[in-house]
Amino acid sequence: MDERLSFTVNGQGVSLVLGKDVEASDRLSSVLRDRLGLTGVRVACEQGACGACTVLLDGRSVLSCMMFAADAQGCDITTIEAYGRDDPVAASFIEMAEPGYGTAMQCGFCTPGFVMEAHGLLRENPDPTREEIRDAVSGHICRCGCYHGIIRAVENAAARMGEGGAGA
Amino acid sequence: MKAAAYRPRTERKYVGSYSPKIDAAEKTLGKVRFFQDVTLNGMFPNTVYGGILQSPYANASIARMDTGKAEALPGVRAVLRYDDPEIRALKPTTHSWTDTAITPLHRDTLPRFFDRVFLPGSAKWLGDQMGVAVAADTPELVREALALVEIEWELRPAFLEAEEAVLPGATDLHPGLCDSKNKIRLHGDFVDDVSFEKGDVDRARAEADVAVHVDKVYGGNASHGTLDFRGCLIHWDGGRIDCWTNQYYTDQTRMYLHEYLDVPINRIRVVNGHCGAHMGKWNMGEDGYYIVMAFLSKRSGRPVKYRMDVHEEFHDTRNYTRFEMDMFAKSDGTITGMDIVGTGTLGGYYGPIEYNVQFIVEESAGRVLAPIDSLRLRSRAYFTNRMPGGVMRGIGNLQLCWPVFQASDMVAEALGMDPVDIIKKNFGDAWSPRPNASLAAVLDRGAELIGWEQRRSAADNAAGGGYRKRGLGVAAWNQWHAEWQENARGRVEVAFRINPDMSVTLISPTCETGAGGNSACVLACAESLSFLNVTPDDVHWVPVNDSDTGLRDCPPTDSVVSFLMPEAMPECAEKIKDEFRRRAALMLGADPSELDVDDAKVFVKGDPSRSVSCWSVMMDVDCVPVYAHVTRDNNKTVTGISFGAWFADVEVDVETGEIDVRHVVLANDVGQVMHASGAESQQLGAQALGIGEALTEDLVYDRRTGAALNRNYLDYKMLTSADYPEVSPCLLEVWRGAGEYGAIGLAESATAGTTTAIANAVYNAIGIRFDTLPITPKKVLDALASRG
Repeated sequence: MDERLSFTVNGQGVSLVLGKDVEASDRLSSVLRDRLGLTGVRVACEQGACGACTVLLDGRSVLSCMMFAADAQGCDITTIEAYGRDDPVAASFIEMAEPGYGTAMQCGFCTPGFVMEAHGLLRENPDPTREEIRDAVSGHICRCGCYHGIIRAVENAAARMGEGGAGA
Repeated sequence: MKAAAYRPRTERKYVGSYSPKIDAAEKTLGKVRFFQDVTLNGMFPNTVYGGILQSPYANASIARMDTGKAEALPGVRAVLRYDDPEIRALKPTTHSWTDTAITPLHRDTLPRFFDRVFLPGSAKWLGDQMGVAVAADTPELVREALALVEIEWELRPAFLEAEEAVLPGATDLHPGLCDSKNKIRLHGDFVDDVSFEKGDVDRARAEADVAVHVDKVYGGNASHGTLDFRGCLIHWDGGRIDCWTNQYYTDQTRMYLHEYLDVPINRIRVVNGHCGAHMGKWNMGEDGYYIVMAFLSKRSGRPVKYRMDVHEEFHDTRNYTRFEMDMFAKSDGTITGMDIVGTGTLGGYYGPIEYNVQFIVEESAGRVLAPIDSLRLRSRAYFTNRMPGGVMRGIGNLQLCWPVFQASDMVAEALGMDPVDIIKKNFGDAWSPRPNASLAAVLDRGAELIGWEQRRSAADNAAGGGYRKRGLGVAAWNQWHAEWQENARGRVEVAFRINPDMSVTLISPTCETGAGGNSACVLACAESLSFLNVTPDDVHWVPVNDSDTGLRDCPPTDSVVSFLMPEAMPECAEKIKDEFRRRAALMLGADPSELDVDDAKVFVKGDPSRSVSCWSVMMDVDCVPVYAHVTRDNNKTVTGISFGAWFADVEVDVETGEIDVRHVVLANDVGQVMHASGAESQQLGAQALGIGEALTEDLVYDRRTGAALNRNYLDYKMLTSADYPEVSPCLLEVWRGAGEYGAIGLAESATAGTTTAIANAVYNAIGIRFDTLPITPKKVLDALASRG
């Protein structure tokens, strides 16, 4: 019988045949993008420096370009595609326009990675301080430099979720 | 962190508002399509991958090459060699810049140094794409095939500095382009390298009460650092070429392919979409891989996809520029002259170094340096085996701001004057009364926000106790470009389509790189169509540029999309109004000239009871959308320019050498804020770049081999949230340009003074000036130790 790689992605079961659908050496990021079409998982540096490929694995943020897909056997994976405009974190990034903070993104390449990281943080720490947010997202590069807007968006997301916002 | 919202000079419905980016949802939710998303294998089933050898040596030639093993590898579809007759028959190319002309061979292209050939047989920097290219079924096979190519090299010593380039042992890298060994022949007949002169510098020197000298280097060690790496997917099938790319200018790509591959323009289709930032990279001519991939496609009969990896993405740097400068002043604080030597250190190929060591001073003589009576510039530049220089956000302006405003800081100190007063007194533009009102406004506002009145002298700060020394610094520069300075860009095209449900499709083609011109365009579109009660939410901006069906795109360079395209929209809206009048005339039994349009109705002037809704007009008979298109010439009215000011508050730890940037304030007069949230975002983001260049971003070379050792994002240190300090963006509308909006560029300008303000603040803290970047803890400790 074929050896299979099985996990859930955004709540749906996925079962791939090792050696046919997926190679043991494939990175999780490439399986998510190329095999499953989840292109919101951005891939840039492929060396764990930029954070763009961040997804949640059993609720914790991981760099999907830095792990083998085979190591996700049996795990629950969440990508940016799991969320919509009503997600409190996504909504806070989308709506950021407060004077003095700019926006939470410019080109948007890195943004899904930041949103996933923020979800991972707020799951563990629903009421983080500004310093804790700064530390949590410090593994991500936003070359456009929207750090003020990003940190403010995560603060706003925490406040929304504290008020019982949907998706918490 | 929070600054006060700006106060608009003119109240408008949408333009200038604080509002989310128009594509914030798509970007946040990962729905925006970048190059690597639209070229997934599933969409192009026969695609193969392309790769080009990166030279492992900085200065070398191929003596013999055997590609037999690579060609025999199963899965390899094409191998292209440097000695291929079709490749060698191609015309040479050069760096080409959107602002000076559209393509390398365009008759008006300014850089005419044809120093690059496709797939050369020799390497001029370590990483040079040369020798051999391969197309194969997977990226892994491409790497394997390239590794199987056997090469016998002729090696030559690498040299990285201008001083070494002229030595007897140095290789003459481009003899046909040089006056003497490796010294490029710049434009103009210069005597003693003097490329620009006004007034009488020698007299200013002789009559000066104060003269200061600086010797400052900026560039050569910073790169663009963006996350969306360069790439293309090309299919050259018979007589037709299809190209998907993330290069920011489809029209330039199309013209480039046409010029070099001799395929008619109407048989070349170039499609791009969103691009993950660009920071100035990507000027056609320097990216030879398009042509190489096209040939691999032709030979293999397949679409070929190429995408740089993180190492290849370090492909060009900020131009390496050294300015030695004497600044002369009178005892009343009047700067009377500047004597400047600009030396460019080119890499293995030409980057637009003339702009840095020649044109920027000429331009600035009419801009920020206009009030200074006497200027003299000597210009020279030398080829070396460094990674080539190129365009990077703020090109030239940052490098010249760096010596000028450190020298003015020194003049102020020598005369016991406030550096802000020295700037107000001596800088401005050639068209406005002095002192310049825009410059004074940004300086006053910035000084207020940083707490400038608390600034103490460098001597007082150094004498103070404790190991953490606090300092404040300032710099200024002009904004660029105003519309009249954008003539080289040519005409701009926009179109509106009003659909039968009254929704609007906006065609204002530009590649959204994060610069945010698309948001400004949507706000301006809704503003100009307010007679139809259109809101920004009703407007769909078309995000994909397709050279087969779209209008010519406007490249997102010089930060001008956000107002050049909006300036075309009032005329486009008038055409829409005319078409509604024409169509409604039949329904109302009136002449179009008797009709007007407001509140989404067409009505008879003088008898508004005779009206028909625009929706009814749309629905009448055929539901054909109302469409209007405008090709607009630039408004060439000379209006002068506006200014920006940067203030930095730093703390220097004299025990560790660490510089802690506590606060940066920048105030930019932009004439008209087009989209306040986007504009402040650009101000904030530019500081991440500037602080990075000031403190951490540094390509480190092995001087023996010529290798840049840290061509990756782990070891090339860009700012993250952990390093980003408090930054206060401040927008002003003091100056005004021509046209409906009269705005000026911001996103590039916002980078201009950051490093200089930080360096002046560091001096104010510890009394030491630094001549090179980044100012690392080691440099600080070494300087403190040598001072004793």
